[in-house]
Amino acid sequence: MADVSLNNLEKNMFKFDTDDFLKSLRCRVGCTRQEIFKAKELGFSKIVINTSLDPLVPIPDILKSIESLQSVLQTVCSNDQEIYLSIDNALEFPVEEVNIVDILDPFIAEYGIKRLILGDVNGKMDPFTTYNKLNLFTNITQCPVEYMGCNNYGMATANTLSALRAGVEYVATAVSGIGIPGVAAMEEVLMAARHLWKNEQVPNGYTIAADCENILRRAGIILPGEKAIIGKNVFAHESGIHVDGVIKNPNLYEAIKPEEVGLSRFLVIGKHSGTASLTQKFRQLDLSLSPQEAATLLDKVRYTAVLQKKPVTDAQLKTLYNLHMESIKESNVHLSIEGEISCD
Amino acid sequence: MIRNEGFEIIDTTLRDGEQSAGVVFSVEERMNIISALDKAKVKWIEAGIPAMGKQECEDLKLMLNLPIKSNLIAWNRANLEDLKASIDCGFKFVHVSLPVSDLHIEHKLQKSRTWVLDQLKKCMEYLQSCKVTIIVGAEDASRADPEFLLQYAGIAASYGAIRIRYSDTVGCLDHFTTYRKIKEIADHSPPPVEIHAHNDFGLAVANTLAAYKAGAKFASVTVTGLGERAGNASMEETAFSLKRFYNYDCGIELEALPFLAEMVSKASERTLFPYKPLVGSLASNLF
Repeated sequence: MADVSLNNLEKNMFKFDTDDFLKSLRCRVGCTRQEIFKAKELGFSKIVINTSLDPLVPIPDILKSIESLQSVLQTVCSNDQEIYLSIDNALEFPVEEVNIVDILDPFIAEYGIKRLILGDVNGKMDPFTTYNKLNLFTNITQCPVEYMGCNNYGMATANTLSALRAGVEYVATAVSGIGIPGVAAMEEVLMAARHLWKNEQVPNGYTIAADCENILRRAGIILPGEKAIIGKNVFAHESGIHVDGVIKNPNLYEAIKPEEVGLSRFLVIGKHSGTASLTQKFRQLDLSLSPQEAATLLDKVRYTAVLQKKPVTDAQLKTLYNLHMESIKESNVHLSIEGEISCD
Repeated sequence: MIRNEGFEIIDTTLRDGEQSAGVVFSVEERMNIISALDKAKVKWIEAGIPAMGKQECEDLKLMLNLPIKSNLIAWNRANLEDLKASIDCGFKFVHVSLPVSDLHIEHKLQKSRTWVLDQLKKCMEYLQSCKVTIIVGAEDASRADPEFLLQYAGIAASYGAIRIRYSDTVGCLDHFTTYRKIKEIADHSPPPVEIHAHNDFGLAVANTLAAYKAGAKFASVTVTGLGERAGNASMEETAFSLKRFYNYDCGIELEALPFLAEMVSKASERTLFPYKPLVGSLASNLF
């Protein structure tokens, strides 16, 4: 299921072609009659009413907010709609003292609220507090719960895993965690559940990297190479120790196999390369190196990488190799930044 | 409120950060980063790997001559040749690392647990004779037998190691497991425990916080989370989260972090993801 915000739809004058597509979307609206009517007009049958309650005000005032919500729902809701109630800052309520569930549950029952979305939009909770609070919540509420954690402090993925561990059945995520202030990264939550928790229900992710990148590209967002799970460079190895290890057994330095997310492993030759990686790389280029040659070439490779502040390309490696073969005695030959040969 | 006095931050941007595939810092950039880290009151900086060669040693010597308060640490594999390079550079703080999981011991080293312990002893004896401060790293600790890890930590302590680094080398822990595993080690290990978390599942910072709660006394982080594969725990997220969630001041000047992030982003030629928490261009301003 995917959420769209009424606000954004109106801003972009977006129109949906098919009803089928609409059925898989929920429209996020504020708690006003006008916005709910608008969402209905656009053809949405699933509506998320977004609200926040002030955890610092006394209970009678919270009840007043609920009453106003009630009056809105009374006038606009019909049986052919699914209403989801999202409370942005639900986790800020001290569940132990102010039992927000006691206040909400009768109301939820009366209006047939499909799901209660508990938010931490200010990212105020750490993963352990999130677990404790949601554990309490899910134990006392009658309503199915969804969790939406935000990434202000980089905790969204961990908080979402906490929510799942606490028994929450639905979690809100986004590809690569995008959004302001960002939510949990979908691919991280899925793969953590699959690989760290050995949860077999999570499908394999053979196309996840390409799918995520495609979605981000459509949104005009460039996926960073180092993005966990789906970044192209997360299976690149440069440092001597790591490459040596990966050649012996990939499990040594990879938490998951690259093909499990549709990516591939590759060697980068640069400042931190060692002789093992150099030998392996040259083998890939169909050239064999003796240990001594590898050591000699490694010095030149490191020098070149530092000089150009970049990894050494295959073409540069071949040039270095040829030069080495032609004039083994001339040890002062180096590649310049442009990849041309210079002597110093 | 949880308080855990003495949780200190170790920056490894110049070691594990630069080890990230394709990243190279110039010596000027490294000196600038060190000065900025020092200004931000980062007490511990892992500066590099002297075993990488003559030029690297010359560069590291320049860094050691900087007028700073931060302690510069040399990272080493556990062999006497590498350690000697660090001593010759003039390092006073020396990190020596060995793998502790059977997977690494058998498949990478092709040795035994006994060999690992013996090698650690040899290195420690040498370092002790050099009168430097010793830090011991336990690579792939998250997949190691805790009993063996404690044995390893015991040897480190007997030679005066000031801390033992618990590395989640492939980032395969979630915060619940980290809490449980670090608590087990921290409760019994004679040297204080340092957490070194990787971000393969996006959990490096959460795992660092879990280690803090479980009694670790140090955390190894990098500016912007730069590091191998999906990176390390980011300094800015760790420092801010400690303050936000546990009201713990780790001593780092938080206001200096956006500048540092920009500096490292430029030097590593990796543009910051606009949605990156705290330092991305679209991040909410929490400073």
